[in-house]
Amino acid sequence: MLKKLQSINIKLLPVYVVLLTILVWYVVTATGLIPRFFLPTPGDVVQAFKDDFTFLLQNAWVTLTEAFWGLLLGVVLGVSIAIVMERFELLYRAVYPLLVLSQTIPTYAIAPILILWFGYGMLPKILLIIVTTFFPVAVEMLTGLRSADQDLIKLMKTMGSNRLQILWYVKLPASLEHFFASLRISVSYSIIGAVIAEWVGGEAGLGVYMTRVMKVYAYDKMFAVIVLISFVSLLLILIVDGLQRLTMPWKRGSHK
Amino acid sequence: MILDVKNVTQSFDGQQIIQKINLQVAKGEIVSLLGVSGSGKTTLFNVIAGLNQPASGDVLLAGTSILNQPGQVSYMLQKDLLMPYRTVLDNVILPLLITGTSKKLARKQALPFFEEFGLTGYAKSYPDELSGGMRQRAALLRTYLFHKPVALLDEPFSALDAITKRALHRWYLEIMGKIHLSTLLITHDIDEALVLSNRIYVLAQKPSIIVDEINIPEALHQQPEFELSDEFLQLKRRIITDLNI
Repeated sequence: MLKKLQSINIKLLPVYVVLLTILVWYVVTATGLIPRFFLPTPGDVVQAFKDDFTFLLQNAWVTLTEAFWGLLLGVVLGVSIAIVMERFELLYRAVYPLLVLSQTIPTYAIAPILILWFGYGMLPKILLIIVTTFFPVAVEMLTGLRSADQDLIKLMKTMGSNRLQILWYVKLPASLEHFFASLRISVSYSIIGAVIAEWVGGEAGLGVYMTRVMKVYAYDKMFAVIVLISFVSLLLILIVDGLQRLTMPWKRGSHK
Repeated sequence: MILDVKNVTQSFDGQQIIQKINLQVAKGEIVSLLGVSGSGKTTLFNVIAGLNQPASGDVLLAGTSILNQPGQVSYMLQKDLLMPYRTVLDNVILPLLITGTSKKLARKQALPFFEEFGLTGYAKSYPDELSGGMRQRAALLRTYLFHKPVALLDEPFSALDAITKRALHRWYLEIMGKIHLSTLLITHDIDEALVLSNRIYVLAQKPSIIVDEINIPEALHQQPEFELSDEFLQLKRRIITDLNI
């Protein structure tokens, strides 16, 4: 009984921390310890969120659309690269170091170039998200594909199965867990990527909204949009978790 | 002879692993290949399964060579190798799916065997929920559903505890009496070989050559306590002498 109580408390611990943080935030701002133009009160942020609600949602929709297409294409690209590299060892040796190298380029540095080449619309944003999301997927998928049980592959071969069947029945299922781990990372990357690309230049989106409110020193709105972005990211990660549970039903039974 | 292994020699890096192996399996017969670990039994199985080309020799299945042709004989490894992400039913139908049978038809074909293989009620379970013995029976059902004339079993019971193993041996003999699967069984367990086989080839080590061939008359298997009989002990002594252990 005591043990159960403890485990509940431990699960709620992060909630307490958040509540405490908000409380401290409220105290230091409401009492004027920190000037309000410097750090708005929690109430100000909620009010700002309410005032700009429709506008925020419109901008969030743009950002989410960019993130969706960028993520989708990035994931497809990442999985394809992993499959091809796993199949052709020589290609793996030739391309893999370059892939790693490509990740040393800061996202913020290539965003202006993409804007310069492809304008202020959605295309440069989607491209930037592809560049940032495909990598974790490719690396994790490659690890997953290579982790497939060699004896199982041997058994499949004795059944006379071809490469495609081995990929489908053994290697892809073996990499599912890796895939979802990377998808969780890529989902948050996609939102961050979209916002950063919008900072550099764009017509709509949460990043554009952020740069606008920053220019007029509306920090309450700034905080509102930050909260919204983390909330959206959290929601998307929860969706990925749900998707994983749906796709891997055999994991549910073993938790009994 | 359904399976005829002729003069198979295999070497890796100039070192001979197995030397001029000759063995036969008749239709419906259970034949054991008995030898210590590392005597090249699995090497021979890889050749018969068509996974590796031998340095010399030939393997005939019903008179035709099956060298380098995977998919001609059924193969069961020591590990059950059930896929944790597929239900038991979808695991056992795998060989049918590989050869192009539709999922629906394959399931329909496999389900009637669940009772015989002691898996009733577990078709929709995942392998995690099965006991060691059940997993091995499921793996054997999958092997059987290859529908090939000969099955190669590579130490299928060696990972089990002694009691489960004994129960599985009895069950195995019983089911073999019904399905008549011609079997070549690798084992390092002398008792297991004697209990299960019609015939035993004893494989010595360094060089790995067949040093003895032992026939076990059907009458002995029919004895209620064969494992405790004098005949059993005599045969066991003969094998121990063969293996020089």
